[in-house]
Amino acid sequence: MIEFRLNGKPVAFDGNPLKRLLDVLRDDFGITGTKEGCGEGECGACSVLKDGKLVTSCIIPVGAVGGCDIVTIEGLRDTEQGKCLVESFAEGGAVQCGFCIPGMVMAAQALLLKNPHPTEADVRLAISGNICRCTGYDLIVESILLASRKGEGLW
Amino acid sequence: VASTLEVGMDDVIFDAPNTDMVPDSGPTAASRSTMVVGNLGYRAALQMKEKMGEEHAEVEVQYEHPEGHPWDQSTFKGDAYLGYGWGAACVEVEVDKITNEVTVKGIWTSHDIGRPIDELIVHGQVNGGVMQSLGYAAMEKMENRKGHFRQSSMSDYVIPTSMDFPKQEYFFVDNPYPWGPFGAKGMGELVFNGADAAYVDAVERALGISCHKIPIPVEDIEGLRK
Repeated sequence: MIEFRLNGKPVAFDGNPLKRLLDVLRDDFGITGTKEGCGEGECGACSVLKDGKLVTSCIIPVGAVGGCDIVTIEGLRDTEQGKCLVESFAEGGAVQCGFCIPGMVMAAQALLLKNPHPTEADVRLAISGNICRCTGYDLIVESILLASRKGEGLW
Repeated sequence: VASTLEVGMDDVIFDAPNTDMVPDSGPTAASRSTMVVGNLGYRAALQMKEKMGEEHAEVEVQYEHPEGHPWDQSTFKGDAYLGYGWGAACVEVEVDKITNEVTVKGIWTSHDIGRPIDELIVHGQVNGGVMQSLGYAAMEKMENRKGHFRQSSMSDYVIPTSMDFPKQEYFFVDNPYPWGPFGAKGMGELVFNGADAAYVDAVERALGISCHKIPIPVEDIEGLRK
């Protein structure tokens, strides 16, 4: 039995500890905001926060998250920080097809938790593990900078 | 439609497209839906606007082929394409002559797409297309050996990240197309063209070499210098 916290609530998973965290989230807990883009830890679409750290859930076995605090996009978006990010992404035109976006928002959150006032270079580094094919990144970067300005005091 | 009728977007209801209901109207290509269907929607909304005071109104518009562009559907002869998008791209690079690493210092594009309907969305599309074009020029090596791709996973087919290219400068030329909704033409594929050639041209000029292939990833540049 693997026990951990998922979006603030204690949960338990009683299955193969080698099952990918991504699959446990999507199939066993039914929360599908976290996406699979590559299955090899390269694209960042599966990003979640594990004890505040940005990780790729497609290459993490669920057995490795026992006792950890896992936050997915579903958990983030209902918080004040999450709402600020979601609004900024919408206002800033960050979204084209949308597939990379949950991962991008998680990466933005990981950045702002450490650095509430990032520079453009800081933002580009923070999302360098999240691949986007549609947007060319500029509007995503601007949206994250917008969130850090709008969200004064949130982080 | 919402914009022309001056109502909220939520007040406009449309059926999800269903091939049970609609006739075969040809391929979805070259943004013809934006121009043809968009313009039909616009013209219908203009007529509907006259009737906004009534309880209930129905409007139907037919496609009208623009004058001066003859097309014979039975012989497939004439002007097949009525509108063209145009663009220009400029790329500035710095090349390290010891390692051959290329740093893109600036990217500038301009496009004539008639008039953007939603500028924010189109801005994103330009950035995306230009980035894909630069990736194609700079890093997206894809080799085929006996029918198998040698680069077949995210780890080895390399596409740009947020750190590979700087923020882009772009602008749109305002040149409304008379038969597109609000003057719009298509732009989806257009934005891929140009930046790739500009990148290769810039590297050629920086090193005084000639490139006859694309991509020119860093590891291949030394070979081109010989």
